[in-house]
Amino acid sequence: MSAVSIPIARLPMRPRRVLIVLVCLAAGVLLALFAALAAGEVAAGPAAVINALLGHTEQIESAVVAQLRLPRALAALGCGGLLALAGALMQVLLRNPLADPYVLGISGGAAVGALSALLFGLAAPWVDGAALAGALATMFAVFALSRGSGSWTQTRLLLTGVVVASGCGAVVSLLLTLSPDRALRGMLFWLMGDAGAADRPGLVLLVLAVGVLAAMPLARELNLLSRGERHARALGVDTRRLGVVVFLLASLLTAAAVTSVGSVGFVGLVVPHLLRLLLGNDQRLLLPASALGGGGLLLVADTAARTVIAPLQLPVGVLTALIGVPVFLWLLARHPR
Amino acid sequence: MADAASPLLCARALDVSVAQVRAVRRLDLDLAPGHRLAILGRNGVGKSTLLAALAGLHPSHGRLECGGRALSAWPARALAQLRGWLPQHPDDPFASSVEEAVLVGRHPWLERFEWESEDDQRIAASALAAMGLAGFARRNVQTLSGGERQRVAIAALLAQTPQLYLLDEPLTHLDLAGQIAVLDHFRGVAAGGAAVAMVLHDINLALRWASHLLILFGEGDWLAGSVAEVASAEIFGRALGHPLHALHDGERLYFVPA
Repeated sequence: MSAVSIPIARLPMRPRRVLIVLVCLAAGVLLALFAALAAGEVAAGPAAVINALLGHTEQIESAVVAQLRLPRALAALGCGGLLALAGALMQVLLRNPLADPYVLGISGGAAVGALSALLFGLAAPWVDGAALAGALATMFAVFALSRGSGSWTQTRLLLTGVVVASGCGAVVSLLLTLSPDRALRGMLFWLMGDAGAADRPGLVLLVLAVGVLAAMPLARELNLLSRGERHARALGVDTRRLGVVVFLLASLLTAAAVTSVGSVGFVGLVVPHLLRLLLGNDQRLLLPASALGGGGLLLVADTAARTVIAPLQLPVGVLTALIGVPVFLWLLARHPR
Repeated sequence: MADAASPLLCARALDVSVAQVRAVRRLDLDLAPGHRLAILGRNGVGKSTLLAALAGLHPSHGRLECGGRALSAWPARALAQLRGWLPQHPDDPFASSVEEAVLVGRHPWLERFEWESEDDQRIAASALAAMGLAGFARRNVQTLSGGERQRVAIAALLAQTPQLYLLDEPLTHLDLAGQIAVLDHFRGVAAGGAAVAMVLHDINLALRWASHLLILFGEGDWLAGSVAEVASAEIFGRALGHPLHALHDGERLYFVPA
């Protein structure tokens, strides 16, 4: 039995404590955003960043910040928040700390949907729609197959996720093989997609805001759900309705993130888990904190991805996977059940 | 609120089954304030399923009323204020403090955006104290022993402050002193006007505590009544699959395996 626990997680949960933690996290995210805007080949000083944010783009530095870095940074921020919030919701829904859009093959399902649409030469809205449908279908399959309580659930969930993810990988390869050359470029772009490819940061942030606002009223019911479906029902929670709402919400958030930045792994796994260790498992704090923490992590990762070995740019998914894989393995070792 | 005169739980011609197991056929049962019901039977006979059905958490056929109103007609939250259910295996996939685990019992009493008040925290603290866990509020539930975890689950049920308590094997993992303490506490709870039903395995502890017995024989056969009506070596032997001897010690009756 492991005794990982940090004193702050044991303090009584109070609205004031939640507010303080969230304000601190938000301040950290703002700091990361400022650093992301300043860092790069064209170094921008604080004055240039502030000018850019105020809309004064006469200087070249300010123009770079406003037109290149800001949209990319906001997209990374929004998508990281989406993935972490989706991961936190799925972990409660499946009552399993290993659930995450990437591990469960949901990103893979979205990729199959998007690539199928690209193969048939459909327009951008259809590609996004197909990615959403693929994400929903995969999540439904994994969710349906891993439900229930008992010692087999954990194994079954992971096996289902692994099988579905590798199946999606095979289908992606098949689609790439079958597709004509003119579609191939778009497909690879989608698969390797990074925050630089996201063209609608405002929409991503809007979806994130809607997601947080939709999840918060359910937070205390989710606390109960994390302790057992029947137990939650005995305490007056309509678990069937709650499950459907959370399932749809997590799928939509994942799909929105995946269609914007492509396959970015493990943000949804690592962020809620680390925050849970620091802050405890009360969803009233964990859900908004995950949204902020995930956004901050992906923003930092993306900034590192485009500056560490500049002018070469790493796909941000590579960085998150390099962080995520060891954390995942450590988690798996800690939960032998 | 429940009408004081009506039983807290009333079952008539109730059929409950799960998979291939028929727990009860045409069960008639009344649980009035002050009643202490022990449910006895062999493994796999359907005791837990029956208890879940009585809590409205498992489908059943027949008439089942709580406080004079059909169980299925109760809004979930109002029902959760009236009847509490203790699951057999508390499960903690995530770390949480003991205090948080007990405060979940206050959920039915809170509005959607309401936070646990100091009153709720006092109720949780006194429930923990009642289970002998006064210093445990800041501990992580995942680091507790089986018996301690079981007492945390019972404390969460007490914090729910229902009038009808349905407990599935509450004495699991508890040492003898803990078992007696839990039984004595629920004797007091029943004396305070609640009705308590629990699945038990030890006949002698059941007889020490219960006012009424419900015995499941398997295949849907059952027998219910006051302890004086039901308790006999022949019936217990039949229900539990092993012959028993009755030993008399003054007023008390004990049963030992033959």
